[in-house]
Amino acid sequence: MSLFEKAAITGIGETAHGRGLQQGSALSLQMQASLAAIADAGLSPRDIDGVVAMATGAAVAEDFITNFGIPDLRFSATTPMGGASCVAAIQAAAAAVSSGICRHVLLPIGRTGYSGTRIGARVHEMPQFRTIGEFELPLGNIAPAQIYAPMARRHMELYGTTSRQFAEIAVTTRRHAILNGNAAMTRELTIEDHQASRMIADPFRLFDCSLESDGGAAVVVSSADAARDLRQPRVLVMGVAEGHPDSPSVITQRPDMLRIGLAKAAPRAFTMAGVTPADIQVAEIYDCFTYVVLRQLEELGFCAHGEGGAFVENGALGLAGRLPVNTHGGLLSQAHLAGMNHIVELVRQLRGQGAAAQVEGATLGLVTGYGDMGDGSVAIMRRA
Amino acid sequence: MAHDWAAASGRGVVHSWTVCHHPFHMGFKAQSPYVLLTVELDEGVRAMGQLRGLDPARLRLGLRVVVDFEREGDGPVLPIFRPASG
Repeated sequence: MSLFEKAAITGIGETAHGRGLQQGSALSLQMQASLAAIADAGLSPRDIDGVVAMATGAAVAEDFITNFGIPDLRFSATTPMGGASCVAAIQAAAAAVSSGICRHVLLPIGRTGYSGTRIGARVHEMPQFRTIGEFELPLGNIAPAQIYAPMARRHMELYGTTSRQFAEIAVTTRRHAILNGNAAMTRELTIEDHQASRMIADPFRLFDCSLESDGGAAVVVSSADAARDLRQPRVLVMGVAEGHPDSPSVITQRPDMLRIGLAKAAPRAFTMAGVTPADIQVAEIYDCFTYVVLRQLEELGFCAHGEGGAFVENGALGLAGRLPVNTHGGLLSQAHLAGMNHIVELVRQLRGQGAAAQVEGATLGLVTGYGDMGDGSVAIMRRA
Repeated sequence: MAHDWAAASGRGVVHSWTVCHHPFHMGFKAQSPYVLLTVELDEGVRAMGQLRGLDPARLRLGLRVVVDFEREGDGPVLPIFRPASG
């Protein structure tokens, strides 16, 4: 049985995004965002009968039973794949609602990545990090920027990809954050600003790196049938998949260093959805680093391997470009919520609620997740 | 899956690298910027180590390197790589 159009995203919610906003704990932030998403769907908190709590988000399913008075939570799970978790959770939730286990699954996240536990510090607590921790950390390979940089450098050496092409992604994403209005970064960025920013881990400059921010976001995944009676236009999940790279925990040992989990997930999702990359009108692409966007565009089939640099040039990812990407400002300029904000934005776009950042006439799009050294997830959706 | 231990020659080629400017840990502040090399050893597996004896601007894929070992004070013995001569 395929998950094709068995589930819909029925509610979206988020808090204000920023750095040091003093809006509450990571738990409080995801409660606030969850209540907003549940109200957006036209549901009551007690209607939630499934929760996929995020391993990165400081809450467990029990917190929602307690705080929302959920009388009978029938489904709980986690999808511990770092930044790929949120989109992978759509797959878990779709499987649960389509099999009748439950009807409305809440996917919440809240983080105080700026004022609380810094996101960069989280890596060292993950079991996935043990091998790097033993063999590479003592050499100075400590932070995600350093761990991912050799992939970007190899792409540059093999294909002639340039830092200015990475800058195109950062600049376009910033422009979208400003249009969105609810974003940590509010000042315009130019390619020259990017090129002048300090080097973090070559080839990554400061503006190639995502934010650490405070905020919350949540979505509700409902069975496609249950979604018919709710408040918002239905946004159906047409295709969804997760994938894990070979040598998942150590990039250094990966047979093809550039190959990521999305390479396995993307064909599954497109086949399930019955569409091709040419049908995608808007794409929210996980952007922990600029290069990671470029590489995923290749694996998704928007361009050939090695041609991601040329693909993103000349504002191609802007609202009027060939493929509008990260119309909310992404992790680079809106907020680091492990990509839950990417799901919120895709649904907003497909409903036609994108306001100043709306992609004209968009009714079909996709969202990706990327995390824990290269796990991948992707969901393709359309407005019914 | 069958496996066995084998002694590596310590020789290989540059597979990729990064030049680390921002110290993410105080212990690496004094030596920043430092270069982390990913080396494909002649035996097939890859290893990581800091670069010695070459301007990082001269790095390229496929450059032949050889391992050496360093110990600073009471710290652990760590692998480093230098350009292979000849």
